[in-house]
Amino acid sequence: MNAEERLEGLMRADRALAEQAADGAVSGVLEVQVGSDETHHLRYGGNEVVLDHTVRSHSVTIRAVVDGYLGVATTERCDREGLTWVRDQAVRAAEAQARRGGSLERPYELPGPEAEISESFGDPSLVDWGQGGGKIQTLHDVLARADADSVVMAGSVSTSMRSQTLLAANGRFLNQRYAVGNGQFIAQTPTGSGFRCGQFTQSGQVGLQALSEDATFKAKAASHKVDLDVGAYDVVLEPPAVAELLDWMGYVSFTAKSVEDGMSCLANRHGEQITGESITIFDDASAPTGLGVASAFDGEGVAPQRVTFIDGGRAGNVAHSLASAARFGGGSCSTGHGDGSGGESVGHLHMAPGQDDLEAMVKGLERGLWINRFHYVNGLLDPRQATMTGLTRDGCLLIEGGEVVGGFHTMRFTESILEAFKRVDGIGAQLEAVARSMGRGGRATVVPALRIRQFPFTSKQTR
Amino acid sequence: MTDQLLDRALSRLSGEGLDFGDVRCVNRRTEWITARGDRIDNHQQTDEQGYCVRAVVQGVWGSAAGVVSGEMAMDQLVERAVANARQRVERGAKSRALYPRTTEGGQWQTPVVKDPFGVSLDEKYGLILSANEKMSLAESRVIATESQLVTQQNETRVRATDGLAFDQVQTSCGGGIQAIARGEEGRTQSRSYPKSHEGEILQGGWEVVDGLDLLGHCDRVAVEAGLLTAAPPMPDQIATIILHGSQLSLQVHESVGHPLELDRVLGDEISLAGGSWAQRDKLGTRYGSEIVNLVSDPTRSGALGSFGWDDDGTPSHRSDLVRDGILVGYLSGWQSAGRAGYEPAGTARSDGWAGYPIDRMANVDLEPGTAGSLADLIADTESGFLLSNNRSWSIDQLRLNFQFGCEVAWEIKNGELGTMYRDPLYVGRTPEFWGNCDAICGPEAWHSWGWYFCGKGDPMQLAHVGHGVAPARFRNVQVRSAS
Repeated sequence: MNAEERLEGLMRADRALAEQAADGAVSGVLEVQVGSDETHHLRYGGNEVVLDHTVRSHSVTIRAVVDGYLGVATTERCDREGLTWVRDQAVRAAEAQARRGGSLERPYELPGPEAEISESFGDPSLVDWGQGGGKIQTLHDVLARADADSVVMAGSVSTSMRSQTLLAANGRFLNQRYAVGNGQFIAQTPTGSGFRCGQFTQSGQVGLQALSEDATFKAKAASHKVDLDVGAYDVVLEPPAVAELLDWMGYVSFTAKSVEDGMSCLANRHGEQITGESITIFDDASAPTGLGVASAFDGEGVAPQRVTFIDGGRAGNVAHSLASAARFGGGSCSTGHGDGSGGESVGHLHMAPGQDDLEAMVKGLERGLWINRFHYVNGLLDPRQATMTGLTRDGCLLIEGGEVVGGFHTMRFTESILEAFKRVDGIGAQLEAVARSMGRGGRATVVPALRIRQFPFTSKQTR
Repeated sequence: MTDQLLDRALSRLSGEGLDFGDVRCVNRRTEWITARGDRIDNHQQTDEQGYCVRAVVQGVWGSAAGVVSGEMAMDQLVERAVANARQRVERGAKSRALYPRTTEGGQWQTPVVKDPFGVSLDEKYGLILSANEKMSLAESRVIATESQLVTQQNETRVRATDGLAFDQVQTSCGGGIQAIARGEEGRTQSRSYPKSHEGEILQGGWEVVDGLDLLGHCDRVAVEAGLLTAAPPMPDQIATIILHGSQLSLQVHESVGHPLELDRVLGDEISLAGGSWAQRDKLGTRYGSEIVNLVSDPTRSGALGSFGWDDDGTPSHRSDLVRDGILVGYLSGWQSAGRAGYEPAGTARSDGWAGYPIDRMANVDLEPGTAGSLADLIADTESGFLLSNNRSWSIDQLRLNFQFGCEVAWEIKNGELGTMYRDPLYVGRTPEFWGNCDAICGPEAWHSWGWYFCGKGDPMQLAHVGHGVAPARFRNVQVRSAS
């Protein structure tokens, strides 16, 4: 059975399981969600595979509402005992909240009945390639090439397929299925390293050899180390570095919760110019550029809308779940960003592209840094200003007169990203999907490269 | 059913002509309740159950994990694990010897006084909603409050073809409170207790929550959040600092625990978290000052990372990492230690059933010193700052250059606490920082802190780890403000 047939089979099995879980449901059960996932993961280090691991999972989540209060429970035990447990726990939690009362400006409501949804994203033959030996053979060739090049390669390649089903008490049935692959390579020489990653949703996109060659180029270019002083440099950030910054902004600033806390950089600033005019950041689960994995509904069964958080540099809207929209009132509606347990999540972040060519942006650096990726970014320093810290890693290069001089030792930045985004003077025309986590799941942040003037580095490593 | 499926897997593995095989079953039940203001914002209950099968064919490992509903599904899981190993053998994967190990199994469980799943939801909701109400009433500048409770029970059963068999149950429980205040200038600040982020979670039953006395700290937390909104920013200078345990525990985690994971040292972790500066040629060299002693101790009762066996099957035991300031050992599992020629520290751990065991921290503890209580240490400090509760953390991929942000700092002048500062950061380099540790409080100030979300591995796995520390003093540290 090929992956496409297995995915279809997963959908049918998930629907049957959802119907079984809903069967004889006690009062209060809002909906049953079933998730199934199959991922094959290869991890490598030192030019050899160190992990060959397959994970197959199923889970049933029940959301129950009593007097407008929500209870949620999830089980992986799909037998009668497990399904009874999960129903009882969800209802018990909703009932206990209803007994206590507490603020509920507007009772938690079901989305209205809509047409049945059954959507498939990505190419299931990716999974056949991954499980059938194609992936490990390609990787074997890549690692052999690295050996021949005297480069030590580390990284991982995964292929996944997933089915998500939602069966509501009002009979609504939703299903989305997807197949996705992710790959990343870290090439190491004795004194340098390079990095390149990619996400694939079509089998024709898989280009592990090209990724590894790019990582190798960066590693070799970074092998000659230059000692840099701490200070501000003009930088070109490649998409993985930009994606790290956006992911943190999504986490600390773009959800209704962060605005309610007053910690978001958007809180009480709607319409205010907070970055340069060239910056537009939005969430769009329809994968409008063909990059990333689309999504037809969120954890509450609501179709995701495009939400623009920063529009031409001005503070815009935030992502809502049904619950947060109810709390905000004033005509707020869910934007289709519910995580299913009362919170919100932003999973399809995009930055609007510009018109610049990456190579030209690098060439345009008189003396600056070409940043391949950041490591260990943390955005909790001062979320109101989107102040973050992080470090350079793998294939970051010093550029002088538009030419590569060499690599440099690890440097740490500490900066308000709102301020940094006021100094953007180049935005790449090319977008790239950067997977948010390797392995299970297909979420990606879709971003261009950026050139930023005077990006401040506050400390450095000397080896 | 679990026994039947474990037997089935073991029987299939034994019939495959493998070098080695094992099957691990994990049942994990988690309850996470968050109250925001006067409402329960999130009540998640999760019941996970699955199996992980590992197979070694001609010295090459393969594995598969899954939710298993019956014998046919278990057979498929075993076949997949064996096929993954054989596929690699066919493509010339490097064969690695299996290292000798003990196969002494048995049973182990966390001592629990009061079953946390037996406590009513009314009591749980009541506690955290009351905490939020107290914080709101205590300080007019408080604009948001959040409290949470966490309970988890993790049952692990392992059966291996070499005869090892063990069952263990880890139970953990805890919680925390947080207040966010906004000042006149629109500045927001937060304070938390006992620790930021997830609060304090330890192994044990509901008695852990009772021991935290969350309600007893609401007024102070709220008032300090309010005061911080009007506090001056942390000055930029080289200073003496004292780290409270709530922050020092994370300092140990990031700058001692992670770099001493042997898989990082061997290069297996490069694809995600990175490598380590503490390569094997650093064994026997200085990691910290002479008063710095760090141990791996998964046997410590009540600490969050404790167990009877790690997920490779190595019995838990204490081992030295840094003794009198000298690096003497690593955190390691059966396979990584064997490759390096060391005795395993017994700290290979996996995240639930789906995760593959990797080298981890369990409990990495800084042994107490002789500086008495925190009050004694402050009194002994002429000039400096006391920093408490983590806000941000970042460290390079070799675990050398770090920067931590805290919720609050207090100036210390002539042995007394003075001005409160907001947004403190401190920056350092691991060996120099630990080399400048000149005082550690005594056993009376020592406490094991629980950190619930240690991320590592690819695919990412989360682990619960413990760090026992007493507040300690560090000289010549760069401090500044995050704002």
